[in-house]
Amino acid sequence: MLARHAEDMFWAGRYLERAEDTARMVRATLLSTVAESPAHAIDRMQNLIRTLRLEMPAPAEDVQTMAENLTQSPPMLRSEAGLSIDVQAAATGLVASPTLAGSVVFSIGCARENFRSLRDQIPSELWEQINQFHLRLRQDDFPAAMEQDPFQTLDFIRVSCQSLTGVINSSMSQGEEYRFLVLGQMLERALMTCRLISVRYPELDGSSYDEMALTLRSVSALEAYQRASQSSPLGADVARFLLVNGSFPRSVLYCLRLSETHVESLAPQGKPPPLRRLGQLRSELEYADFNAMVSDLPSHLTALESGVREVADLVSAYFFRKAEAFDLHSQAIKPGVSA
Amino acid sequence: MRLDISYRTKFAFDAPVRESQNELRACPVSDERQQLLDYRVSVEPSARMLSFTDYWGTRVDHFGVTESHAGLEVIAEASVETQDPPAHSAAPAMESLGDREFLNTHDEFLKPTRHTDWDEAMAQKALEVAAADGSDVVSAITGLNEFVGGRLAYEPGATEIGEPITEILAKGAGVCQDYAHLAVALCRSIGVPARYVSGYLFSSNERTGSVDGDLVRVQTHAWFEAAVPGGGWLALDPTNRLAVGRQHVKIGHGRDYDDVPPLRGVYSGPGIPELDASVEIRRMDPSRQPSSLMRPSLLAAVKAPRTREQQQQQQQ
Amino acid sequence: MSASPGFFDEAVDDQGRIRDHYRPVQEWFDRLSLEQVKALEEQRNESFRRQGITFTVYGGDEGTERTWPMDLFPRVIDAEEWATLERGLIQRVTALNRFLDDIYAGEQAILHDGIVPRRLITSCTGFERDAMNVAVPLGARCLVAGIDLVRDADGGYRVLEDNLRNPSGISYVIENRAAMTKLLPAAFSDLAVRSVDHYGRSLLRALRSIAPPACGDDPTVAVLTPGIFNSAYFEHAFLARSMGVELVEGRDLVVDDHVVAMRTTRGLERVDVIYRRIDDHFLDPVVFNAQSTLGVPGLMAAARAGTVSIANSVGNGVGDDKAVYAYVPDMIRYYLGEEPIIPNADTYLLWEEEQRAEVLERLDQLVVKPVAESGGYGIVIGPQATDAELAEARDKILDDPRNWIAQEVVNLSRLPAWAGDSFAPRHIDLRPFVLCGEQVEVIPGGLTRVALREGSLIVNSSQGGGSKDTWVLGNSEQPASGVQR
Repeated sequence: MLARHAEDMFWAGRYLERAEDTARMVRATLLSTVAESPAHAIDRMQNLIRTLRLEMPAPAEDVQTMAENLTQSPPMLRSEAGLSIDVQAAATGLVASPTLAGSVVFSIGCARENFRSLRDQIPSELWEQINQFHLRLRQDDFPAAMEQDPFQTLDFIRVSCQSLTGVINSSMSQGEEYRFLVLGQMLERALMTCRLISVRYPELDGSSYDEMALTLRSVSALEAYQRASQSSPLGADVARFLLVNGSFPRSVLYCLRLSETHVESLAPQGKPPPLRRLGQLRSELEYADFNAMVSDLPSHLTALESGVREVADLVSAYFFRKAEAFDLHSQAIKPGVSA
Repeated sequence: MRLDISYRTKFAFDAPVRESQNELRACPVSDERQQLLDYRVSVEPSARMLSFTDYWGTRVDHFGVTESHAGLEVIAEASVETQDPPAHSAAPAMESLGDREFLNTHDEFLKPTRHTDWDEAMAQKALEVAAADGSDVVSAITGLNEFVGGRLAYEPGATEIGEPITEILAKGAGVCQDYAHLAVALCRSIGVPARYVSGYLFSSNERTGSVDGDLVRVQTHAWFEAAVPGGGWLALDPTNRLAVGRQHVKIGHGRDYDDVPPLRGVYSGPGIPELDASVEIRRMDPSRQPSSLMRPSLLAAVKAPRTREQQQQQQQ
Repeated sequence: MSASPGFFDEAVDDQGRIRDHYRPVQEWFDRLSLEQVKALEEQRNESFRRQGITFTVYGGDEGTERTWPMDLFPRVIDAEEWATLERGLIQRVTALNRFLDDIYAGEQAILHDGIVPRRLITSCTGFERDAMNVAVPLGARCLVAGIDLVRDADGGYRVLEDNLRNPSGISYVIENRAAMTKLLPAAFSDLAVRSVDHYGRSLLRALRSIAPPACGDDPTVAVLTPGIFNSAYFEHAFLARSMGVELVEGRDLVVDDHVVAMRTTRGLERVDVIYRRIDDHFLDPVVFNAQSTLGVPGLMAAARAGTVSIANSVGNGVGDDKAVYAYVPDMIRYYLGEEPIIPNADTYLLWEEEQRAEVLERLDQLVVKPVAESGGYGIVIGPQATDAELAEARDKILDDPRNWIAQEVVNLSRLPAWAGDSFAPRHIDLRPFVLCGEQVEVIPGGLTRVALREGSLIVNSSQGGGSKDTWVLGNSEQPASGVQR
C-alpha cells in the first residue's frame, strides 16, 4: 500500500485509541471523585492530566499547531495550586475542547482527518461511522451535554469508539490497512497503560481499595483483574496485571505481542529494525523477573515507554519512508551573464 | 565556419539534494544556415537521457537524478558548420503584414508574453522608429534593431530574469536577453511577428561581436528573428547591432526566453546551489575568417544577389 | 429569436398532458403527501450528510462545504430518445478525439486543409505546446468526456459545451441513483431503469486499454488527486474505490529514469496508467508551473518516453475552448464524413469582426461566455443583465475578443423540482459521460443539473444549482440493467 496511506492509518489508529483511553480515564476519575473531598478530587484530576499530557501523538507538520494548542488550554487546567480547579470543567475540557490537543473531540477529529485521505481504502461504513461520530462531537451542544450528564456522555463516547472498533474488525479485510491501523492502536495503548501505571503506582503503594479500583477501571480492567486474581488488589499485583497479563487486551505485553504479529506480517522478509526492537522489548518484558522489576518500577516503566516510542519511530522510518513533499526550487540561467 | 562548442553547467549545493529533474536545450539546430555535425551530452551523477524535439523544433535532453547528490554537472558538446544567412531580397510594404494567411500562420509571434509585454508608449515609439526608416517591413525591423542596440547600455547584472520589458526599457540597461526581448516586443507592437532566439556567439566580446583568436570563453547568447511577408525570417542581433552571420550558432527559438531556456528544472532538498556556467567555442577551420561584421549599414550588401559560393553552401 | 420564448416542458406536452414516459413517475409523486415528501427530503439530507457527499462552493477567500442538493423528482429519458443521443455523443467525442490526436500527434491535417484556422489553435490557452508529439495509445486523448446538453424551445437537444479536460460529476450520478433506490424503491420496480453503477468497471477497462504496450497484461492504474482539500476530492476517492486502484497524490509518485513509481510500504511500485484529476499546469513543475507541489517532477518526460499513459491527455483544453467548440460540427464532417446528430447552440465568434459587430448590437439578447472557463464562471446572460453588466461585458469583449463567444439564449427545458412546499417547474440541463477506450461508451443518462431558483438558467452547483437522478428507460430489446458488452 501507499506509504502515505499506511502512515495515515497508523495515526488514525493512534488517535482513535487515544480518544477512547482518554474517555475511559476521565470516566474512572470522575467516578472516583463523586464522594470525595474537593481537595482530593482535584489531586486526582491533576493526576489524570499528567497522565494524558505526557505525549501528544502528532504528525510532524502538526507539531506547531499542537504546541500552540497546549498553551491555549482552558485556564482551569493551568492552576497549579489546584484551588480554583473545577473538576467537572476540567473533565469537560479534556473531553470536549476542540482546541485542546489530546481531548477526545480533538483526537476524533484527527482520526477522521487521517481516515479522510483514505476514504477510498476503508469500508464506507467505517467512514460513515467516524463522520457521524465526529459531527456529533462538534455540535454546539456537546460541551453542555458533557457538563450536564458526564457519565452518559462518556458512555456514548465509549460505545461509539467500541462500535468503530467493531466496524474495523468486522468489515475491514485484514490486509495492510488493517494491520497498520491496529499497530497504531496497540502502540498507543501500550504507551497509555505504561503511563497510567507510572502515574498511579505511587498512589497504589499500600493504599486503599478505591485507588486500586480507580486504576483498574481507568483501563476497564477491574472485572478482569478480579476474575484473574483471587486476592484483593495489591499495588504490585495491579502493576503486574497491567504489564504482563498475556490475555488482558489492555496489558502492555498483550499490546506488544499483537504489534509484533502485525509488524511481522507487514515486513516483506527478514527482521527489519522495527520488528527487531519490538521483539527485544516484548521478550524483556515477558521474561523479566517481576519481583526485581517492581523494586525499581519507575525506571523500568520509563525505559519501556521510551522503547515503545522508539518502535513507533522505527515503524515510521521503515514503512512510511517519509514521503515528504517535493520542496521545489526552480533553476534558470540567464544568457549572457557569467554566473 | 566549423565551430566546436562545449557548454558546461555546474551546480554545487551546500546541502545534499534528494532529487532533481532537468531539461537541457543546448543543441544547435540544423537549418538552412547551419548544420549540426555532432552532439553529445554527459551528466554527473550519471542519468539516463530522454531526447526529443519540442514544439518549436528545439532538441531537448531531459534527465532526472533520483539519488541524493551534492553537485550536478552537465556538459553539452557540439560541432557545427555555419554559414552566412541567405540574402533578403524582399522588402514588402507594411500593409502586407495584414494579410489574412500571414496573420493566421504567425499569430503566436504577435502576442505579448511574460517577457515581451509592451505598453502603449513602447508601441508608439516603435511606430515612430519604423516610420523613420521608410515604409517597408525590412527597414522597420532593421530600424528597430538599431534602436534597441542604441537604447540599452550593455550592463551584466543590471536585470533579473522575469523583469518586465517596460522596466528594462526604463532602466536603459541589460544583457543580450533583454535586447532580444525588447526588440521582439517592439516588432510585435507594430504587427511584425518576431521570435526570441537562443544560441551561441563565437566572439570574445558579446557587445561588439569582435573575434580575437580561435578559442573564446563566453556565455550563451540571445538574439531575435522577425518575419517578413513572403521573405521568411530575418535574424538580427541587437546586442552588437549585427546581422546574424556565421559566428552565430542557433539553438532554437520561441515566443520568448521561457520557450528556449538553456537549462530548466526543479530540485528538492534544502540545498542552495552555487552555479557555474560557461561556454567554450573553438574555431576548427582557422584559415577561414568569420564573415565581415555586418553592420546594419551594410545590410544593403545582404540584400545583394547571392554569390555562387553561398549558393553551393546552402545546398548542403 | 423572440424575446418571450416558450420553454419545453419535459414531463407535459403542450396540451398539458403528462408525457407517456413520465406517467408512472408523476403518478407516484401525486400519491405522496406533503409530509411524506418532507420526510423523504430529510432522509436524503441525512444520508448525504452521513456519507459526507458534499461539494465545495468557492467565493471570497475560502470555500464552504455543502451537502449535495439532489432533487427528488427524477428526469426520465425514453429508450428511443436515448438511442439517438447516444449515437450523437459517440459521434461527437470520436471526432473530438480525432481532432486532438491530429493536433498533438498527427499531421495537423485539419489546419493544413483550412477547416480550422491555425491561429484559433495557437491562440488557445488550452493549447499545450509541451504536449506536442506525446503519443497516447489508441489516440484516446479524451478518455472521459462530459458533454453538456440542453433542450431548446422545441425540445431539440443541443450541445452547449464540451468538457474534455477533467469533467466531474459522475460520482454524483451514481450516488444520486443509490439514494433514489433507497428513498423510492417502489418507483424502480415499476420501470426498467438502466443502471449506472458499472461506471467504475468501464472506466478501469478504458484506462487499462491505453496502458503502454510494454507493460504487459496487468497494468497498474492510479488516480492522481490534488488532495483532500480539492472540491472534487469526494469524487476522486469514489472513483479510486470503485475501480479498486490507488488514490495517489503527487508526493506519492516519483519519476526514476523516466519511469513513474509510487512509494509504498514495500518500496517503489511502477505505475502504468494515471487517471489524473489535476489541471495541466500543475502536473509537472519541470515543464509547467515550477512552483506547483501538486504534481510530479518529470511526469511529462515519462509520458513522452511512453512508459506511462496519462488520462485525460495534457492539452485537451484545445478541444473544449468555446471558440473551438463552434468548429466541432465541421470536425465531425471532416473526420467522420457525417452530419452532426446533435447540433451546437448558435454561436458567434467575437474575434470575427462582422460577428462581433452583430453581437455588440444585440448584447442584451445573447449569452456571453469566456472561452476557457468552466463551472459557469464569467457568464453574462444578456436578457437578465443590468446595463452596467452589459457595459462591462462589452469592454471585456473589445479588450480581448478571442477570449469570448456569444450564444443565442437557449431556453433550458423545465421539469418539476421541489420548491419548499410543492413541485414547481425549474430549468434543467444534462451532462452525459462518455468513455473512450477500445470502444466508445456512454453511461446511460448522466448528471441532470437543475437551477433551483425560480426562473434561473444557471444550473452549476457552484452557483446554486442542484441535480436530479436521470433515468434512461430500457426497451424490450435491451436488458433493463446495465449495458452488456
